Amino acid sequence: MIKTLIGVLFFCFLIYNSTYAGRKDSVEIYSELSENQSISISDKFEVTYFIEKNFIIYSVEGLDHAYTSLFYDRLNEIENFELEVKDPKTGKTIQKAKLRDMSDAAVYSNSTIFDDNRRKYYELKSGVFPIEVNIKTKTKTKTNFFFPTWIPVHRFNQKIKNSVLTVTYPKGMGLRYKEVNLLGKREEKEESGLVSVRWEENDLPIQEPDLEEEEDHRLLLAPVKFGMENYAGEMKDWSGLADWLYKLNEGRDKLPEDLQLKIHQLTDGLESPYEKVEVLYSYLQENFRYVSIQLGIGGWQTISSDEVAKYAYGDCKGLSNIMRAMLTEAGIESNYTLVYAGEEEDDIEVDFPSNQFNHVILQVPTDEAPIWLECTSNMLPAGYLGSFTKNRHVLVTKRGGGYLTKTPSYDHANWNSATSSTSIKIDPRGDALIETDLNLAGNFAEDLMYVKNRLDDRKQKDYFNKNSPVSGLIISDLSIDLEKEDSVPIAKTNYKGVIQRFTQSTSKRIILKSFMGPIQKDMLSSNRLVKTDSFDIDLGESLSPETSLDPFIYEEEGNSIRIESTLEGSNLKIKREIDLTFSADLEEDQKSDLIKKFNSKAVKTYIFLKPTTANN
Amino acid sequence: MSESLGFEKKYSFKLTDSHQPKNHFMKKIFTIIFLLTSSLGYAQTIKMGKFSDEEINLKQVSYEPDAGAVVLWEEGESQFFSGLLETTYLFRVKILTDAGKEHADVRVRYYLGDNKTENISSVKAQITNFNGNEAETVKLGKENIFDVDLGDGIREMRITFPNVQVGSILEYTYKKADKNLTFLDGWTFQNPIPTLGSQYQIKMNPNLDYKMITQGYNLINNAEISNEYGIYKWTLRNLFSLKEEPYMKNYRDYIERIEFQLSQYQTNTETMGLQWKDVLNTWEMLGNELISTYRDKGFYRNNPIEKELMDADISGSTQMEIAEKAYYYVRDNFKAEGTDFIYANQQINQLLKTRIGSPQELNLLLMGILKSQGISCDPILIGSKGNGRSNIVPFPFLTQFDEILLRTELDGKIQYLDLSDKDAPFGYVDLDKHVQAGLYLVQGSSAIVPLEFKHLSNKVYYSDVSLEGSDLVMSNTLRHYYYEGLDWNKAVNGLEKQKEPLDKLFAENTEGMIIREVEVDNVLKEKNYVSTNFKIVMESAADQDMIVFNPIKYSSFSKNPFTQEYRIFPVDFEYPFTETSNVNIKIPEGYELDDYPEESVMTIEGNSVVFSYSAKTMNGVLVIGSKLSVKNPLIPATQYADLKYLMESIASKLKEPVVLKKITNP
Repeated sequence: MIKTLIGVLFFCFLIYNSTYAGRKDSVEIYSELSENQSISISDKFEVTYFIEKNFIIYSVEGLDHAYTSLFYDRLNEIENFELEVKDPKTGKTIQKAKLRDMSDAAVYSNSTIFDDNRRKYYELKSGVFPIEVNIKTKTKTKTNFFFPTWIPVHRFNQKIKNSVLTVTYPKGMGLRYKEVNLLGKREEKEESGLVSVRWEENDLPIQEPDLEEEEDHRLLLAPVKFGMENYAGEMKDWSGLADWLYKLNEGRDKLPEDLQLKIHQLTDGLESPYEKVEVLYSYLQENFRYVSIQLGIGGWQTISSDEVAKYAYGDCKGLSNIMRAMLTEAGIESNYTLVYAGEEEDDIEVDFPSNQFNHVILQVPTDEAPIWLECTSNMLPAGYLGSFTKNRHVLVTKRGGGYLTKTPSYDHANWNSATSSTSIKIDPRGDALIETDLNLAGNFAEDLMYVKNRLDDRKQKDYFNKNSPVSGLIISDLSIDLEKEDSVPIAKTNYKGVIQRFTQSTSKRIILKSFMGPIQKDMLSSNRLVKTDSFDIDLGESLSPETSLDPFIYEEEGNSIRIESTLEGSNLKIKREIDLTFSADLEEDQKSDLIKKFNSKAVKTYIFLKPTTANN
Repeated sequence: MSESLGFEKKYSFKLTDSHQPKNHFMKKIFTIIFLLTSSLGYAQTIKMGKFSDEEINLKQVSYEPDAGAVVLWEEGESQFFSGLLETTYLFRVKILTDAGKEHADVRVRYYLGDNKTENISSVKAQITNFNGNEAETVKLGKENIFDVDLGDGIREMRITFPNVQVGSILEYTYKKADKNLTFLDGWTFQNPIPTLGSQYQIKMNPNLDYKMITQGYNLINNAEISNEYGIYKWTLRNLFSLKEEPYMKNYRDYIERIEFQLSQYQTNTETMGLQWKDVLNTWEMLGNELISTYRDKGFYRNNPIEKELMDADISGSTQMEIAEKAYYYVRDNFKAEGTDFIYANQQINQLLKTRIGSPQELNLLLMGILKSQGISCDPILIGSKGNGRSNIVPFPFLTQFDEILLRTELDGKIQYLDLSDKDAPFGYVDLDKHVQAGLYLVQGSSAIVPLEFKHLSNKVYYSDVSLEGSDLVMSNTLRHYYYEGLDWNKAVNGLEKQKEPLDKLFAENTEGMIIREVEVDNVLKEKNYVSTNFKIVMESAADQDMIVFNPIKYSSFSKNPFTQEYRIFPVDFEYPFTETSNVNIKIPEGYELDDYPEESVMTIEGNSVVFSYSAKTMNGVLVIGSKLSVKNPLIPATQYADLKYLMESIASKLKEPVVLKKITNP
């Protein structure tokens, strides 16, 4: 009996411990979800989305998991929404909601002045947990041009018990897909001319905020044949998609007569295509501005160029389209080109031809490299795209098709050079007067275009005060001149001011505050850095250097750092040359480690012994 | 520049017009006000499309030469019609640079609601471009004017001007009808771009008495003011653009602005004839009005609370114990969501069911719980920092209040309570609510009471430095007290939630070193601090002949937060505090102390900020101490240059190194 009791206690102890350990180590679950989603495509290219979700919500954090937001506009409509909340213990219904209970709002955009994008949303509230929540939605889209990516795990801390997606389409229409990290099964069947593909995922691992995006489970979908309003196309390759986009905008490039005349006045006397492109691009930048009004077919068809000319504004499509029309008038061919824009954005899925774009730029083919134009910018030189669209795959559209190509990465030395020349005069209090000439070329000049054109005087100075390699800088005079050498933007800056507390003082030493500036990661965003900095420092008195002033040379696999220092009387002269080339294949953390290593060589602290100490 | 804006002045006075007949009839205040008044027509001061030579030739604003655009003139004219106030707005803006073209997109938000509470009509806009002496004016069509329904009754009228060039003059006008006659919109004279002329006029209704509040240096000192036949007019000229600065909580206090609140209205009764009735013109009345809104939502009822507490244990031997349990009960069982404001939106029963409510609803629930336990507790209306009323206007203007907190008396001691932060322990009140006074809401006797929030939100850093093997190891303890602790804990939670390493808390000052063993102990609830232990290791330090290191590895001011050349507004540190560092460096065997920072004391005039640094050797240990005291948290803009220099000096001092040198055998 005692043995049995001990056995039971021991068993209980094991259970208790294992349960506790399990809780401690496992990820917190806010909700559990079973989902069934079906997409039906009609022979008229209309798509119906029917989604059923069954949640068990365990905590207040899980309420957000059941938040429902349904988009609608001229092409998308919401047909049904039903929500029911139950007590999972008793099965009793606690709350119900229908479509009429949803709130309605515009999809607000600071950059778009007008569109018809709206949404209906329902926010679930509950004070008791757990709760069972059943949500059914039905929405309809008038086009199969674009399918949202199926990502079965919607939220962090969410347990997916089961998730099913079924896509049904007429056989002749076709469907393409790309499976990424899917763990479940796929089944395909055909009945009465309709093909049905079913994906099922079960018991997927719970995700937390440290999830790497590329590790997520997802399914990309795209049509073969598709249509939007009166425009049908085929998307089995990039050329097909490009052809459809070309036709969508065809005939929308008429220019008013006065603009045609102006174009000839500006370009007839010019010989080289680049000169013509440059002149017309400048004309566009000076006379037209970016205004986003999205009223064309699904936001994909451009406003016609005569309308853009009438109002002197347009969105990326409208401005690119009118620029193309202006170039055509001047006898220069150019191509309307789609891109997924944004700084540091991942590249598109190049092996999966589908609509993955959010912006339009213009490509002007030449005998050598094409000239690229970002028509929404009134600052960039012709031929320079900037960080918003550089170094990524884009879709060039042409009559009869098009192709995928890449925008320039601007990774040569002339696109990545920075030269500075600084004179510093230290006063007896340890403050210093400073004057710096700073010349930035290519990618480095881009930020200064923004500083010069968008910030007021005080903020311009503050930009340098904040970003100066030496802290305590207060600029009194500043000039920024923006120039260009062909397509390369150049920013020539001169500033004068004071550095507060330029020297630090210990019992025996005088230390110059760090002034050389480290290599920042963003300086190598194009994997190339050519930087030369020279300093002419009047120490105010003759000091004995404790820091070695011997020349420093570091060279490794094509990268080099050189520092030369000379001291004549109270005059310290320093020249630092940095020339770095990174492989484009480096991972981000490898880049960080390399930069850390180079910074340990490139930044030197200058320490002097105080006269009394030096004499001892 | 700071002198031109100066500090706010406030006053109120009654606007009445005895020349107008007073035979109007009013039914019910706050909802419908019927007025039968004959109104004079208004003439706009400027005529659209007619420009002066100065306007045409203007290329730059003399006092803000870098401005991209300028408001040449703006005006608003308000007059009362049957049950509403109609204001005609007119704006004239000139584009001065390419960057200024962004001002050619205009958005005006208004609340239409279900009953057309506000409505915009008669929108007209035109653009004029100049070709030499020739002006070409284009009137905008409907394709350039949009009205967008944003949801929840809110709408936005948008205008986008075509053919915008540098030199273009944009003009637009519209009428806004407003049914809310208790609080009038008034007028803001300043803009994000400089304003050469701004004018507001209102034709008062003889049956409505309004109290007026004005703020801003220019409005008090430089306004052109007129009052004829019930038409009151204010004109201000050459106003700077208004831009926010870092370290300021009171930005809105400085805006040149005028507001109105109804104080009395005239009514006609069968028995008494014409009579003036008061509206919110005493603190008691304002208090009663607010209390009645809370009462309507059930927050003064006992039944629902008693039911709620059936399963909760909030018992205690003292009122303090009970209140503390009640506070944590609400904090941990209800979720605060939405904007902190003064009104409760949902009924108490609904709140008890959903367990999600606004911070003010949660505060009112706590009030109900404490009252149910026989503890005195009532709300205080306050104008939070940033709401534009750092000092209470001595007239019951409701708009000067935007949040509430609770005042309770526990075992004879006054205690303030607030539930707007889910991480805050009992007795912590959101920092934005730390204002000097508030309106204590007690039925029939509401009054302004002074507020005082005592806390020592300091930071203390201890460090023991020694050589372990060939590594220099700094073993550190950092304590953040009170509100600093609350903030620090949020930073820790943020990193933990994102699965980021806690090393990031110290990354800024430890380049080239390794951070190890970061452990955080949150004892805010028990001891009012958050303690963080961590080690910083300088690997293989002993391999060099000299070990050079910066001994103070943590300070919020190791980098000067002030970089701007000058300031217009005062610097606001929010509250007095100290930041103290104590570092003990054990001089390792085989080493001598070669060098260390010198002692120093620094301050600015008035000793608002004082910094001291000391370094002493005792028994083979170098003891370094530093202390930064911010004694007066509000530093006027006139002292900004000194403050900036002081903070730079402090940052520089905190980076000075200690040098340990290997003893070489002769």
